[in-house]
Amino acid sequence: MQAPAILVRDLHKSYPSIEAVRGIDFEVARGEVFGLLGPNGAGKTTTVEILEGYRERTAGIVSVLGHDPGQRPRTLRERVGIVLQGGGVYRHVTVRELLDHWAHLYPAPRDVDEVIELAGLGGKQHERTRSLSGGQRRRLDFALALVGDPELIFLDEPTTGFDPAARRAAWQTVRTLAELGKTVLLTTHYLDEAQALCDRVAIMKDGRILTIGAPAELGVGALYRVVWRDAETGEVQSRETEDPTGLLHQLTSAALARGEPLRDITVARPSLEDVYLDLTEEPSAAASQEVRDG
Amino acid sequence: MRRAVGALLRKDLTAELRTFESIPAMTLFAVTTFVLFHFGLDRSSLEGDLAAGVLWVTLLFAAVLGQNRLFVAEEEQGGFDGFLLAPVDRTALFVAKALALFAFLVVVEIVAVPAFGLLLLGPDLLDPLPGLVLVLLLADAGIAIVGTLVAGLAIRTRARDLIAPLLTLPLLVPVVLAASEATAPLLAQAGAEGPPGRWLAILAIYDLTIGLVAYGVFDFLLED
Ligand SMILES: Nc1ncnc2c1ncn2[C@@H]1O[C@H](COP(=O)(O)OP(=O)(O)OP(=O)(O)O)[C@@H](O)[C@H]1O
Ligand SMILES: [Mg+2]
Repeated sequence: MQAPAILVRDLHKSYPSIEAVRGIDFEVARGEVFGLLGPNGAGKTTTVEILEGYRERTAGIVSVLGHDPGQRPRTLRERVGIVLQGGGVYRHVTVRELLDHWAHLYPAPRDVDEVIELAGLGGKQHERTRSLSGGQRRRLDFALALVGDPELIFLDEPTTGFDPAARRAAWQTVRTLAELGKTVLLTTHYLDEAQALCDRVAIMKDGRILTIGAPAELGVGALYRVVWRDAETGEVQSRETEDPTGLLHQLTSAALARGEPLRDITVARPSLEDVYLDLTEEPSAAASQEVRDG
Repeated sequence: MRRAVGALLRKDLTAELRTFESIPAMTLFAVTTFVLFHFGLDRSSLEGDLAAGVLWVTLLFAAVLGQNRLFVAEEEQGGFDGFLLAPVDRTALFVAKALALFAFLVVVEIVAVPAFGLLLLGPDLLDPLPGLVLVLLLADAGIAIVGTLVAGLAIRTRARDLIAPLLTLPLLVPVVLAASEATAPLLAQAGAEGPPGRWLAILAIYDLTIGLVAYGVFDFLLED
């Protein structure tokens, strides 16, 4: 059994005004794509930056590829790739020159042409970085994380600001990285992205991890929700049940007996999105939801 | 380390070639100062001590002008952040920046020294040129090292434009002194002698000492 790529035990981080991370534990296995989800201010970026060695932790144990990132050991820096939001992008050089520049700081960099290709910057490689659009700038950040050919890659909101095609391309790149055996830790606000890419996700809120698991399994164990339109009142009804078979039987028999079709019927287990919203909902928002439903 | 220094230096020189942020300003400053001395001293020809003093003080101030911009791109465009996380020692950054400032100074002097010869200098510049080049290179090295060290120290402070010259000028008194002493006999009316070896040695020793100190402490300077 290989040691995990990332191990976090009871991690705390306090800023003067707020305790941003309040005791979280998780592990990321080698070769895994792991996602951190959670609303704004949940502490995702703080956690990632501590793992990168960019920020110091207040308490807890952190191990990245067997090293303490707080010490910023050089061997670790050689093996880790980071998306720095906008950091290190000199304005007066071209995309290619910039990537070439940072590639020279790593012992075994990835081929610059390949990085340009992977990040979808082919058409822009001879443009000055300051003339790039917002989304192209983000692609460049992404490219910078890959240029050192790291075995562990941190991606903080890697596709925010990407157009839909670019997002798909970035997903493909992340998948390629995973196939190459790289470990990826990403944060995202797009649940479809987490669903598509992550082997496991952790949902954070207020500095704590609420749940961890494979996206498809997070809803497992929860009740099925059956939704249908009531033939008499015309209103949408819903009920949660452990065993949808019995309920469906009841509903369909009743409909058949009345000789009316059963409209708008769905049976669903909570999706990642449902689980996410359920867990992270603010109390006030939850209350208003109740009112609307009832 | 070599590769990193090379990459950083190339990046800085490329940026300077595209933006012309430092060298033209430094050169213009030096030449303008010579013009001002020309009228201010009300003498069309200087020689010896006075000529050497005017030359070195002017070059020193021009260097301070360039020093202030040395780390601005790293600070404002996130170079420091990237650097912190990349597998290179920050001493590579120091070496590259010192080399860049040195290169800037050499380019400035290629224009400024002939201008000095035309505008202010009595004796001919051509005879003492080899000796003068030697003094210039030794002094430039000292100025580049101190300038880079102080610029790195000041960049994270709020009043960096003020702090950098305030620290640099006193630290460079030995350089200006030794360089002036070494230059004065070269610019004497009586006909140029070689530069005095004693002052060249002092310059070299200063460069070496301050270079080692800077190399040693630079890594700590950029800690948050
Ligand atoms: N440098 C800082 N100084 C003080 N407080 C900070 C700092 N950085 C973050 N915080 C606070 O810590 C909390 C967590 O911030 P963090 O950036 O980790 O959230 P996040 O989960 O990444 O949010 P988002 O989804 O908006 O990116 C927030 O309340 C934020 O205000
Ligand atoms: Mg964030």
